[in-house]
Amino acid sequence: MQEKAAPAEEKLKELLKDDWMDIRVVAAEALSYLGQTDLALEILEPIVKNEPEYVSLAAMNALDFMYQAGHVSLERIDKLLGDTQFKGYPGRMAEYFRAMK
Amino acid sequence: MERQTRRHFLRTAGSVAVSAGILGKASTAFGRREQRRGGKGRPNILWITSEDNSPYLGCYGDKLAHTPNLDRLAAEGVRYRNAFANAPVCSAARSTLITGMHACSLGIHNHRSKVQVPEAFRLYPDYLREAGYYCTNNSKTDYNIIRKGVRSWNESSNKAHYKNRKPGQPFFAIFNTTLSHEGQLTEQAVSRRRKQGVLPPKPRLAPEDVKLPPYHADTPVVRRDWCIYYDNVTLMDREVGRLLKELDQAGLAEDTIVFYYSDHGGALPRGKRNIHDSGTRVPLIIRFPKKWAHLAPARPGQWIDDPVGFVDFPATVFSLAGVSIPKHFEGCPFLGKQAVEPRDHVFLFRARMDERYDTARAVRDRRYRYIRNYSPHRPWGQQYSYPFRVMPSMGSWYDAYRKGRCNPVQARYWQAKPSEELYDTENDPYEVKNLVDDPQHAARLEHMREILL
Repeated sequence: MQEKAAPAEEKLKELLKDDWMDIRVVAAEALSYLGQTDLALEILEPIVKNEPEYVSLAAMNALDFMYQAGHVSLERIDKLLGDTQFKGYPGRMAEYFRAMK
Repeated sequence: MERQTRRHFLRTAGSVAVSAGILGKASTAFGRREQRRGGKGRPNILWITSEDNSPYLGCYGDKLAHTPNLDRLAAEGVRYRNAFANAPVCSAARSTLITGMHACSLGIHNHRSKVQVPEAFRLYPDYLREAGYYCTNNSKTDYNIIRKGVRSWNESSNKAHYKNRKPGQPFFAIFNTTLSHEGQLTEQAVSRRRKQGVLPPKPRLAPEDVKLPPYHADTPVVRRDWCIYYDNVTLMDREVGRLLKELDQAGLAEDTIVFYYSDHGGALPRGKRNIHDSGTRVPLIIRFPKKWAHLAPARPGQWIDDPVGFVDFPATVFSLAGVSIPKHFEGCPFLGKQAVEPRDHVFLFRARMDERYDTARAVRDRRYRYIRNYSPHRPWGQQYSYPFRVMPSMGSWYDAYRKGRCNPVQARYWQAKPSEELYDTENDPYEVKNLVDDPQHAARLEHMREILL
């Protein structure tokens, strides 16, 4: 899909500034598949750490699929999570990442 | 009522949002009018619900099941062959039931999302109470919504019971049993139940007796879970028998219409949480006593093939109870004086399940299912922590997959999904043969796309 999806790159970059956090998360994940992982992580990191439970959770889901697609390492995800104390569903995701290490 | 399409239910939801402020006031007058009709001459309605079970019942043709009480209820009532939970997980399925609207119309489709729904979107027991019914819920709620300070039920607890109503007052009562829930498959739960003498020391079925669905890896642990699960279904059936006997002993059976259904499919992996029949198709049996036999759609023991979904249940209860159906309800009443033409299809949805996001929508008619996967890179079988913890078969199947011991049909659950799926459930009841690329089904595919999108 990379070549076919390339024309969408600029549009996806615009969506990184969308008012809706969930849209930013999806755009960041998609950009990662187009080779823009650093940019994606720049967007996702503050969302994972600072945003309400369900938005943080969506960003963590994006990280997992970026990892599964080989775009980001577990070490990088671990560094991104840092020592943040996650609760509820994000807590389960953090536990999952840490258990895989 | 016009044929339900996605456009129709979006339009309905939109008009409801506009008129939300009016509804609150209008409903009070509505309630008084209904109450004046009095409590006499209206049926009691009893809902007996179980958790996480597809129609693994003798009366639905499952030869491995031992469910004498439900089999008897089916002989005395009617069975629905095409009944569906609109969502394959507790909270979103229950959101749809309690609001009478598809949960995705209200933004409450993600599992345990705790959304504050405007109070104008009142819950169905609010209306039934206003109409004079004594409404009890014993006891699961899990409605996925927050309603501060609003009490919809007369009683909602594990002590809630119709026996507490005023003399002569009609009742609507729910008794929910968790005996077949996926959480009852853990070693701890099984061993506790065995110590209590509730479960037999050994499963009733031998592992080799179990007929596995073709998508399951054939491992001893998967077979173990199936054996335990069938015993749990038998326990659930026993509880249904107890509740029916209690109704009978109270002298109320002849005044009461009884529903039995499950909150969605399951419980084993690729059941609950999945938008296929294994996760959304449920048993539905309705028994009408002689007094209310004129409301029955068929004679006792017969099957009904019309598709029905949870979104239709509140509207149907209102129709049976002689209560006006609020305009914002999205369901099609399928029984009673307000019944409409049967549906052609039901809408189904899957969103976040536990901590894992996904977005899928489906439409199912009497025979075919069309699914649109909006996140095809996310597999059906994601790394949900809870089912991995409570169902040994989940880990066993995943382990077999990782070790390359699954055939393509078994492996598919753990892999990226196609963006569209189309199944012929009559010829392929396990939904393993995707017909999307079959030119013979091109016209059907186009038609079902149009309905859904």
